[in-house]
Amino acid sequence: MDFRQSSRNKKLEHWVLVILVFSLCIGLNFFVSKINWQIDLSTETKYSLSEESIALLNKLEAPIEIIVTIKDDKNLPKIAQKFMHDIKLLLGAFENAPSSELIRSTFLDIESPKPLPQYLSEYTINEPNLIIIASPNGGQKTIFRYDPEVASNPYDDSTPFRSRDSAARQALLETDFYSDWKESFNGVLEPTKFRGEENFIRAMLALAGRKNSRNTAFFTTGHGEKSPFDLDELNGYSEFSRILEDRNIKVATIDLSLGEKIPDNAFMIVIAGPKGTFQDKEVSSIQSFLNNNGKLLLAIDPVEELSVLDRPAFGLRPVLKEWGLRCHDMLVYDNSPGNYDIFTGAYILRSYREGNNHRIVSQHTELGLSIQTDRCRPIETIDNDKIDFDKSELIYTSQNSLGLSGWTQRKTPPVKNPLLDLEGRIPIIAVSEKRKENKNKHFTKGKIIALGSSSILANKYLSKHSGNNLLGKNFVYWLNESPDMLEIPPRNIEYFTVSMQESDFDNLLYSISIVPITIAFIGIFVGWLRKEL
Amino acid sequence: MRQGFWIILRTELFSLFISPATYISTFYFLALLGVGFRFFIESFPATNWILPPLSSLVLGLLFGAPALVPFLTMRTIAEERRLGTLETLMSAPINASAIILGKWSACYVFFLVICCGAYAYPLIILLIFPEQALSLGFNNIEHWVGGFVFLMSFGASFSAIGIYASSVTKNQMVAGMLSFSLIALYLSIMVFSYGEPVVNNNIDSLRQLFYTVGGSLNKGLDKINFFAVGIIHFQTILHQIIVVLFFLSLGTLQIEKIRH
Repeated sequence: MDFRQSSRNKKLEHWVLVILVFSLCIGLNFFVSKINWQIDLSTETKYSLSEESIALLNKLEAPIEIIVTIKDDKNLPKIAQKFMHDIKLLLGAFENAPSSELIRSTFLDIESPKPLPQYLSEYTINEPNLIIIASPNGGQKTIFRYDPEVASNPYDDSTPFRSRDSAARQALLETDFYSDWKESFNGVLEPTKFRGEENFIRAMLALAGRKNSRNTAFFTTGHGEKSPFDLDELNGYSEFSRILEDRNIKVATIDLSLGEKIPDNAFMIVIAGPKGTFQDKEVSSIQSFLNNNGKLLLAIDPVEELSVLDRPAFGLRPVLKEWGLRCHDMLVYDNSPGNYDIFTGAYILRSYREGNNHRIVSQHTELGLSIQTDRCRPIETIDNDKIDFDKSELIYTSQNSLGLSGWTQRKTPPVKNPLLDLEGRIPIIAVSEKRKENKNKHFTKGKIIALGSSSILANKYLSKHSGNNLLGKNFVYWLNESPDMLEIPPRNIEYFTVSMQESDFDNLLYSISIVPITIAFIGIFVGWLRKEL
Repeated sequence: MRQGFWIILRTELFSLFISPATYISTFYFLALLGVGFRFFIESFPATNWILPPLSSLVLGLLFGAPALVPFLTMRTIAEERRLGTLETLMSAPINASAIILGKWSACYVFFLVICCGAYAYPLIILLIFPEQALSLGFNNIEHWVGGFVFLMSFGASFSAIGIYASSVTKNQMVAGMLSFSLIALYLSIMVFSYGEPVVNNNIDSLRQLFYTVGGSLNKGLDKINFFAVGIIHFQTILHQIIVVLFFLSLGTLQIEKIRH
């Protein structure tokens, strides 16, 4: 072999090696692209999914696609950019979560002429600014639509001007992704909690979770009850309705007085603050529903007037009696000012049973949470001959309180009637459930929750008082047979700011100049050493 | 090989620490970064910055790298080739990969020292203005660690690019410019791809295959969103390790070529 040939061979060998190295790196890159591990170093691993979420993800029965068609660009208002940032971190956590089914997220530019990826071809995705959850058998669900009102013209006097940032803020305010909005240092509302995890899990379970045919909570109407669609800040039940919907329970109304049959998809009946009496036919309809493993939530206020024609507890006493509960037609009176909220005047219930508390209120006792209410009436458990019910009183009034019978005719302050009145520590909420006959964990049984005031679950307290809010959620968990009262905690949002004077910034500049100056001195010293040595 | 590597590393580190050029470049780099950091902190509440403020320093170091890394790497092999000492070095019982790895490690360590110097700025704020530092989130150790890991992974690949650039020419200036161009090109690709929608790893088309095998070459900068809040994203780190391996292998092949 001559030198020219040898040189050619060396060159060829070199280029073959270069191509091999290149191919190896491309192959490695491909395999590494499949790896999606991440470690969350944040305190309390707040960017990872909570244990509650992971437990719920393991109940998924089909793969999940998360499709985001919001274009993340720098022209978005700051609050929207922040939202996209939170969503990206959350989707990263979902993809890394140990779930029973595949969870995959895709960011799409819907305005691009590029076709959809093949794995999304079965879904209808043709709108920008959406977050969609899809599952092969469950269809698709849009859980977020970013559609802020277009900012108006600042030079047009006829319409009030709104900045893009303000419009985006309102668009996000109206969603459930952020909560606990507070005024920031510059006077604008900023959210302090991100509830994306809860929102995504809820939608995923609705699409790919175990399907339950009994999935609707029916609020009774026709007796002056409070409405689940009433947004009134005081008496509305929209907040409780939202809690139900958040747990994938649909909300509807039913008028039993018109002879409507309780539908087969009824999961529970809610009777919220009735003012009129239930007729025998309605009562028997409720009884048969309960005996067919239905659930009842009865929130009943003290009666203003009791005529001889009215039946006790608005005619619902037989239902309660059958399940080992009694609802007295009394009013709770408490003369201790310490038991009333000084700002709202709400009556505070903070006495729980000693020892083993019911799991609905176990978190309340641990955290020392109270329940706020307006006027209330006693609801107690009774010993009847039926042994197949588990009954429990959840919360009591104070030691000094009285349960006044015939209270509309009593003077103020009332004098205790030892024969008819109830003495302190009067139970206000009680529950009863049928003992389980079947060990099958999917077997559901009838349950009743009776509250001595409808205000406990009204918007007034449910949205503003954490004790009531937790109680409302725990009611739904208990009725829904959720084994661990799963509650996905929201993530606290961090805000960074600085408030320094001009002189402070000058001092900062002088201080940080120490670093390059030190480098310069070391360099001069090293230069001098080189010359000297 | 191991012994050769340590000797090369020690020698290179020594030459970097006694070279006036590295001190001059470090001085200017840190001075500019410091001034930039001060003005960033001043204007921070009025900006659209959604990441922790510490990440601004990380990005400053990252985008300053094309100006800094060539100063550290350009003379490593090009100078040896120009002076003819590379042939002498290769006559010693030491292989090409140890030479490349040793020189790269020295530059990388020096780059990390400069990063530590830059990290002194928030540390100074933490010491002098503790309350302001708390409101800027400088007390969150995960922001420091996440940002530094991000810098470590990209610093490694930038240094490797610089070493490769130095191995292909005898001229330091050419090596410096080539290294600047390659790093700037790499950053530009990432900047232009920043925020672009991510289609998942399913290979439906040639285009997606191209994106998948490209790895972090185009989407690496997006991952600052994760690292800045303390989430260590292994895929990004592994992609950068592959970039390091690729350029160091090319550098090694280049030296082997010279040897023969």
